[in-house]
Amino acid sequence: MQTEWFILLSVILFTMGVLGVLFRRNAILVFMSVELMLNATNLALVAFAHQWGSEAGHLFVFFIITVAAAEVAVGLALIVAIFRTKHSINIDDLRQMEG
Amino acid sequence: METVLFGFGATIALVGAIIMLSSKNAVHSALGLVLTMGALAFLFLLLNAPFLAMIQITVYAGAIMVLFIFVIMLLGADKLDLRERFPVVPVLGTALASAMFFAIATPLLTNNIDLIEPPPANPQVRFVHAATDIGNNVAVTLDGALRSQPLAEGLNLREVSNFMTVAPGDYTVSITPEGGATLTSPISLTAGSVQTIVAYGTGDAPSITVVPEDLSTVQEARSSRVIVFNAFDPDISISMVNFGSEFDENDTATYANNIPYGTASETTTLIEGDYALAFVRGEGSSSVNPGIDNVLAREEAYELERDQSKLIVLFAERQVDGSIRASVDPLGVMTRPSFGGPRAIGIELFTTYMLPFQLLAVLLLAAMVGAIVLTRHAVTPVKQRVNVRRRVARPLTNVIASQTGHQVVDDAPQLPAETDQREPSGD
Amino acid sequence: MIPVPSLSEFNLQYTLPALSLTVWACILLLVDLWIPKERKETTAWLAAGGVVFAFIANAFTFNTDGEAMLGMFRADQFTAFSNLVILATTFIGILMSVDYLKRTGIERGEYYSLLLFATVGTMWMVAANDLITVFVALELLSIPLYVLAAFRAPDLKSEESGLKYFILGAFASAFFVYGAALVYGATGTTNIPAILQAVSATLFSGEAANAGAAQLLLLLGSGLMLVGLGFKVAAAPFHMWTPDVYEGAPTPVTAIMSVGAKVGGFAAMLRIFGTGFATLAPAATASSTDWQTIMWLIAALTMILGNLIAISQTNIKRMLAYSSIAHGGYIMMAVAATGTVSVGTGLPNSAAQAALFYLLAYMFTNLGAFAVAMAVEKNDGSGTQMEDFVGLGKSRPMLALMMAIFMLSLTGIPGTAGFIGKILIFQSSLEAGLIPLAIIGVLTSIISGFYYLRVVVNMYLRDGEGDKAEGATPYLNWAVYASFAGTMLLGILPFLATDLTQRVSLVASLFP
Repeated sequence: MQTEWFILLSVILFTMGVLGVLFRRNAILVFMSVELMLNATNLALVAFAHQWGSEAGHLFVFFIITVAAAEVAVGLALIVAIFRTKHSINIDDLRQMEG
Repeated sequence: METVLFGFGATIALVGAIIMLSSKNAVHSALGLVLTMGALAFLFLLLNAPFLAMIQITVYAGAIMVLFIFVIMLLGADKLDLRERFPVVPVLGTALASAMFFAIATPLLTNNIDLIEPPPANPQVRFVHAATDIGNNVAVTLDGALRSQPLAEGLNLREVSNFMTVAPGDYTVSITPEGGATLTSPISLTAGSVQTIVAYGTGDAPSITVVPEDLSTVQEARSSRVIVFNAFDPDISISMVNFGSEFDENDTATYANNIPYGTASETTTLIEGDYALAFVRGEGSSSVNPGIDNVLAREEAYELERDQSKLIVLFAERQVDGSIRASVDPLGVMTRPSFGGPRAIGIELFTTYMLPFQLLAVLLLAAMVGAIVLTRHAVTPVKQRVNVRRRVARPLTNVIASQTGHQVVDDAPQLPAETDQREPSGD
Repeated sequence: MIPVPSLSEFNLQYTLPALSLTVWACILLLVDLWIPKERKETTAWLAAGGVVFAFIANAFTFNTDGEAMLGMFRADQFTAFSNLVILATTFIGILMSVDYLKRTGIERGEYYSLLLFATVGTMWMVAANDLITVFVALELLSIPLYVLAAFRAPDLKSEESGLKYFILGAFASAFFVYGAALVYGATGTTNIPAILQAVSATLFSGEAANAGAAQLLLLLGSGLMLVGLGFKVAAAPFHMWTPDVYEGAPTPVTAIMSVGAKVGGFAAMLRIFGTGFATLAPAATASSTDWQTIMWLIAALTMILGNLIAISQTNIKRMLAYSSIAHGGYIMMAVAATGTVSVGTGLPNSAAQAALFYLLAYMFTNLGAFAVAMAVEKNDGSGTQMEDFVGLGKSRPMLALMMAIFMLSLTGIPGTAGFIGKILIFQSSLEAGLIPLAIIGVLTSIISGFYYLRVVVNMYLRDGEGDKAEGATPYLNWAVYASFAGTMLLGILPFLATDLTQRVSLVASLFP
């Protein structure tokens, strides 16, 4: 199995994640799209690690997964907090500040 | 077969991602993402990463996505996304994202990236002190063309130095016994090799030889590699046999046969467990009891651990009366753990990646504190406590007011402001 | 028989500044539980004490040169000087926060712990010698800042600021790691010096079959990493989030964010591009690296956009936000200058030194400006308009004088720290042959005079009652004086700092 195919799949998933961040207006879904981008990264790293036969890629994935967990904790707390104040998590509604 | 499995996993991953992106219902989106993550875990298995596949399922698809769904349901946010708008920015974004996709994907397919060969690792080298008469406290240095590196210091008889990684090239090994003359021997280290330098033999000028070792992953389950090195007597070749607990003729096996002086045996792979080893003179036989006279040394209960590369040195030990006795020195070093397994990752985490691992711990602590800080204020806000008190007072004032027809308090009690603070859209 | 490295192999003494503050931040979290609510000031002083200790430890390890933590940590003057900037930022930041938190009613002990977490994140990041460490430290820097930006919750502006910062920050991190993954794919390592070796070996070894694919992955990977780091340092065109986040966050957090996150981001950029990709050029004989062009385009765009949009701002926090974007552009200019391949001539090193000096000068000036803005700010978060500065010269002459000096320094008037910083940066970019960039830099500096001097005009020349600047509490005043002292000192005696950067080198130590 060639590494290219895995990388190609990872690029597709990453691009879909980018599109999700740009398109979706629900903050939770935007956030899930970021998780999709991170997952695509994980796939690329595991594929490269397989190709090089080096553990560094696996370690990187381990760190990404754990960091994602930390990010999720803070991100969802932020979303819950803003929902309590505003009763909306649509990011188009986030326009308290004129810009 | 692999291609089919890849196609299967990739299709599910893509379907999950499409569900996630296109679904109007946030819960469906979350389930789509779970599907993608599960499919990626499957692909990780194809790529020899069983441990990460496990983590991906438990932590990512499990813990993290449960949290997402929990928050979606908690906020009732599953249908909040209905009024999607498609302003100009996302259109530009789509163009940029597609451009990025083609920028990465097209050249990847035209250039064969499998062509990149990992560079061979630098050679590793260690030193074993099995020279009977040069005494303890030996210093060993490795003199290369560029610089001289100490390989071992204060090494006693039967001791072994740690492996040292050096640049490939030609070196001179210098062995300096305490108060003795320095012995030198040239060695050549090629990239990717693992070498053990053994100094052995009796007298003031021991011989020096190099034993190649193999530290790659042991393919057989629960097994270790064993090499036997004969450093006992120039006239005797040895064999290593298994005698069981007693010298039972029916329980013998030869692991290394007829090794001449100063050479190492072929590598044998043995399953972990307890062994009763005997080192015998001459040819080891699997059927004939060699007789007690022929046994040079025994290792009654030798415990062999798994995933090791063992170098067993049979060397000459000087007795108090000056005679020589054979003695066994098993030297073990761990082989590379199986690629992508939990053990391999665990070892890396606690050695090379100690710093990021610790930072990760601090990061999780900071995230915990952050989550608490962000959500705590709404649980016990000061304002609401005031309101509760007023609400208690409210019926009383109402009762007085209705009975006397007189307003007791001037300011009407107020309910907490629950009005929607949403800005009018279109500003 | 796992080969366990002994403790001495970790070279913990090199990491003492960062390590001590990390431990102290965790302890502070616990100690804070026993500090009664009305005396949270104690937490602030304990945090400041930890910063001072780390500062002293940093002074003792200033001249080290080596690796620690089994190659994950690079201890050199670059690290030490960046630490100096970060620790000073945090110290002044704590001085600014104490009274501000009290009068705006958001005083909580966790604030200081989170501040210290962000600080240590930056400290580990500037010393990171491995992409994995860069990533984890980057998150350790960012996550507390997301929380701090939303610290005035349930105030909607603050929460929005936090959420926007969070979403764009997470988005940027994803770009960064994808870039790192591609670089790993090209080189097979995540260690920065090893990447340098692999890049040099792959590209110049003449193995054409490998070089094509590897170079492609390297270009894409470095580009994506640049996007990720560009978001973090608010470089155009990835700067959109900055004004909103800066406006909504509590002002001391904005001040710290505008310096701390930039120090971390630019340090990582210098380490990754200046060291790791130092030889990433189309040919061995090329005079500039592949990434230099894109870097200087981003620098030019950042300077132009930041300065032009700042002119139309009426809110002082938004104005300072755009100003910080513009200053990011100047630092980016120095980063671009390190892309001129001239190993041995020391040009990349002098550009890195200029960037470090600029960060220090910018730190003092920007923190000072924010501190004065904070003095004028009311308890409810209003009072941040440009109009609020009218007549300040009469009502608070001392404060107004300081603000005027800070504005002059941000413009780059001789005699101030900002002037020396800009001279060094322009010089390095001229030496690197980036003449158009230097011209853009000078022109935009002149443009920046419009909006900086408008504050001065408002304070002195326009008639008005003059704000009493009730926020100018004693501790905040100390923060202003400290920033003022730093700005003037560096302006008059620049060698105090330039001497400290003399031995900063990006790649020289790797080619002995």
